[in-house]
Amino acid sequence: MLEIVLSQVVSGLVLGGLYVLIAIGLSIIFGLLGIVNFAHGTFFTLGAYLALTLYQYFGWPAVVLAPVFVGAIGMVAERLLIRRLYDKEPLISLIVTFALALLIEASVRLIYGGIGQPFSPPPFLSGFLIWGPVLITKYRFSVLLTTAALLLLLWLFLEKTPFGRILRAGSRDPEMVGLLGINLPRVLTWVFGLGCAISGIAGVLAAPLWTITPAMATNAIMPAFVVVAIGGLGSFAGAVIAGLLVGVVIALTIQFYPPASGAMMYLFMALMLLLRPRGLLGERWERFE
Amino acid sequence: MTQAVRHPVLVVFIVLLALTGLWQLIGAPIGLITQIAIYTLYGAGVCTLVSYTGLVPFGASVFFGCASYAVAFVMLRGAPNEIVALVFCVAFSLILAAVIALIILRRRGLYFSLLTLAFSQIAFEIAYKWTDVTGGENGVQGVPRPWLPSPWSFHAFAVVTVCLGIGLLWRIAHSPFGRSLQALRDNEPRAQSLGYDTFRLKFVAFVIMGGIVGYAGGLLALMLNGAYADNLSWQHAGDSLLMAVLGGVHHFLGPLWGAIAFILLEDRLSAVTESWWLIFAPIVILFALASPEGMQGLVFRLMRRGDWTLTRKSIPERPETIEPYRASSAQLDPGQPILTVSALNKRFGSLVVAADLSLQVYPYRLHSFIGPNGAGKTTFFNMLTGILKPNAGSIMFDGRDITNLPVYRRMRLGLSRSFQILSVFPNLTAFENVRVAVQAQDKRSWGVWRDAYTYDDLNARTWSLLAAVGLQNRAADVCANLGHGQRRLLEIAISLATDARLLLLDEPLAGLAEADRQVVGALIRRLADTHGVLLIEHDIDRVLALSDRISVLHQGRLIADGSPGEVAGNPDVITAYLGAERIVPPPAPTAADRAAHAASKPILVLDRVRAGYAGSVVLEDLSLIVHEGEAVALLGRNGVGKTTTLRAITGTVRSAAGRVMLDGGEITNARPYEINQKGISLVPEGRRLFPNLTVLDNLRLAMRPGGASLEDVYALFPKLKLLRRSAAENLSGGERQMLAIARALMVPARLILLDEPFEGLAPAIVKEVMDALAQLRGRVAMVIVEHHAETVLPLVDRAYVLVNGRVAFEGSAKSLEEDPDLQARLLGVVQTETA
Repeated sequence: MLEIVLSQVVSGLVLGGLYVLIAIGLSIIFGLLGIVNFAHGTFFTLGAYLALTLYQYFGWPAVVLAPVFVGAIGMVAERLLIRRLYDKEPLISLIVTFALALLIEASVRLIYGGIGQPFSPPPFLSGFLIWGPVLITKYRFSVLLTTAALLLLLWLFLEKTPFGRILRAGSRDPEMVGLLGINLPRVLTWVFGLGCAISGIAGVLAAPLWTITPAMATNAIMPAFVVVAIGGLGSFAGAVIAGLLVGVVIALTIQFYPPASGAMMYLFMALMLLLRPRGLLGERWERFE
Repeated sequence: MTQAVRHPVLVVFIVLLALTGLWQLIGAPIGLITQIAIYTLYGAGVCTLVSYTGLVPFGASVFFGCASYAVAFVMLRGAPNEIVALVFCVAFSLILAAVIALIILRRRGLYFSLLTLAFSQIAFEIAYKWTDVTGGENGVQGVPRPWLPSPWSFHAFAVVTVCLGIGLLWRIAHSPFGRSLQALRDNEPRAQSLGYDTFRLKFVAFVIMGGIVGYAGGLLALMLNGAYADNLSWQHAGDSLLMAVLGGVHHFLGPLWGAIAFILLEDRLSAVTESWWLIFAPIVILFALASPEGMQGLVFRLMRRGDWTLTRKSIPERPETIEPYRASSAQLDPGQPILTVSALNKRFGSLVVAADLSLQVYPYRLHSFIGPNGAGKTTFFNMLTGILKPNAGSIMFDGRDITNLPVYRRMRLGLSRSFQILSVFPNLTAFENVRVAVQAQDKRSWGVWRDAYTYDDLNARTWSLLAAVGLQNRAADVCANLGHGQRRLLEIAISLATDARLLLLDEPLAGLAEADRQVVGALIRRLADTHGVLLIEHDIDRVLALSDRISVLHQGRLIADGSPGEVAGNPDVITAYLGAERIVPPPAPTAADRAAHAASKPILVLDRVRAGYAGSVVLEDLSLIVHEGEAVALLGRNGVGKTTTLRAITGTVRSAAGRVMLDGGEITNARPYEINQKGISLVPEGRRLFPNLTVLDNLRLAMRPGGASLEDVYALFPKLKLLRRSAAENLSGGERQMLAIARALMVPARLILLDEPFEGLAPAIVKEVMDALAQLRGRVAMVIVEHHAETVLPLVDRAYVLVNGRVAFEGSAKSLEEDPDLQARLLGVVQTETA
């Protein structure tokens, strides 16, 4: 029994790590641009599909190229579309990003068809690892390591680099950032691209775990919303904790009562929000209330 | 066209009838039109929340979908006919809505949207996974329609009941309750301050939405002879909002046009291609961006109409004679204080904003409350009205302790406030603005059936109030079309409407032109004959002329209380306004320096700049010049436009007229970052540091080649070096100011603008900041905004004094320094009329 629970907890952490990656991008974009990007999940899908396509041409480097492409697509989307939403009411940005999500999903469906496509992990990552009671596939374990490394890099990027400094400052007072001579509109384009690229990475990592289908965005965006709501707006640590928690909760539900696995995270969220209305580590942001 | 033909419910009926006829003509299956009717009601229900209440539920599909299942269940488990099933499903939806509302209505904005979406996804998961009961993927099939078996009979039933449902919504929209919702949508804090219990309003609106949407969902289940999880999926969560936005979210008929477009396009496009979203999504995106008011908005724009059709524009007929306004409250004893504040204390962290404030306010007097910037006046008002809770002390109103009452309860007792920032209901007519305030305290404001305009007594009182402030001729104008002064008058009429016994007026003259100031000032004086009035105002001349009694607040303490004459002569007050205790200033610029600076070429030129905010004019034809290396003071009392001048220079406020030139090149209305890159750096009011960044990161953020180095600014402010690893939010006021100045120096600037650099600083720190500025003098041009002339005049070459958005004095700092009369007249508290 204990073995099963422990193994499920580890799988839950793998799943949760992916949720954290998606949610962090969503959260950064939300914090700086003030936009809830409903299309965020479709950039996750794009990551998976682009890895599939680019693999045929470039082999394994595709897993690095795919997120770069996703980021570039995100930047184009920001320049053409998202930018026009900054001065509009939230309803319009909800509708437009929602329509963008369905547009991208339909495009993917048109190009790749609606049937799920398999994407096998590289051969050297096949097989299992066993530590005492815990059993885990090598691939899952590598996803866990990659996620942790990425989050560390991202944290260093936000905390230690000039660009990260601008992001942290801009999330509090965008106008003042402009008054210090920083071209904020250009920064916003890069931020949107960055958020999409991280979501794309999660898509690439998830590709061998989940079947690649045009509808996989739903399985990315809804948990990401839940993670952001539980973790608290704009909190990096909050998103990490909440993401891992949600992953574990889902994995354990799958073990003990599979039919409830989908609904469980929402119930968990409702519970958390009743206990802590601003989320685990959320701060009060007048801009978004 | 007559009024009857234009009635929107009739329009819905005629349009649906026409579509029905057309479909019969071409022999197409009528189901599509039934579906349009159902989705129209679905969209209209959601609009109750979106358009009337201002809440955006992204997952209203939870009611639509769950109601379908509810109907399917009872029909399959022995419900005798459709009517019983529909009644059950509406009841079920109302209960479901009430439960969900209790959980999520405390959250606003985006959280609210996402939480409703989460509920729809829970419902989807249950419907999809709980196969035994819901049929899972296959849904519940074979739902009978014993009473209306044919598509045509069901179509007729659906169209008629949908029209009845729309009619019900129209009724509600025009009822006192519907109007309350609109007030809430336009300005929730104001609605609260009028005594509306906004949570209850939102709760009822949410439940009504749930019931209406549920009915539509029930109809769909009957139409399809089954219930399916599809409608609950995330792809369909936005259906109703898409339709509403497509048709026009601020138009009552928007959902109808949206539903027609949505369903016909879906039908046509999905016949052509499986990926119909490829075509439909760009249409939605283009529409949302190009015509945020939707299809009806687009047509209106072509017809050159910009209005909304959520409600009628007409107002009740103006009576032959308008009853003169009478304060309806009972007579108060002029000898008894109506408001007694005892030992009120308030701290924000270590900052004390109210220290042992004790004050009595008597009725039928004009009692003014003044004090220099940052004295704590608005904080005091916020404690009186209940927006802030004091740390200690009590507030008695009319013999009752109100220290712990919520905002709306205080308003109901007769304590009414107007707001510093104009706070009205911008999308309602002037008449409706006041009427909503009049009905606020009336039990009938919860009515959902009778037309709000049929209550003659409320209308009569509204007219009286409008006449009392002189707006009776503008009653039918939408508030957004009124001038700034008229909106101020409207704001006061709204405050009066609540049967106020004590009026709290927070800077009612702010942003008004001189002519408007006279009108509003006279009105305030008249009101003092019938009410208690407590007035916060910066226009000292007018306060001295109007008031019966004046209390002066300085750094959270009352320093004077008495008649205008006593207060104006009080030495403490004079010090508070004209300057703190004498600080030994750094050496003034030498005559040679001054001459050299004045002779160098101008770096900044403002040429007849006019600027302001949303209709109010703050700067009028302002011209000024700063030479290279010169230090210039920009002086004036609060509210005369000093900060706005800086905002116009830095590009954060648009100049409506005039030019701003930097070093010969025009920078009028350039982007703020471009202006900064050209060499203008700002130390803003309130410092505006990034609280989540360390001192070092705040500095590095601004650092550019050519600006000061870290060593330079550490030499200027040694303290910052010690604090470089602390987060800016943990700094004291003085440290923050040093950091703000240091940050501005990191930019390669040729001109530095400093907005109140000595504000709220202890004398020792003021001295330190002054020394730093003296060191900078000559190296870079500076504009220092101040309201204490004495502090800044020794530091600068020249000075400008602003009065009401214009330059009233321009000359050498020395000449102003040596002319106390001039200073007193332009900056002090001495009454100009008698001086």
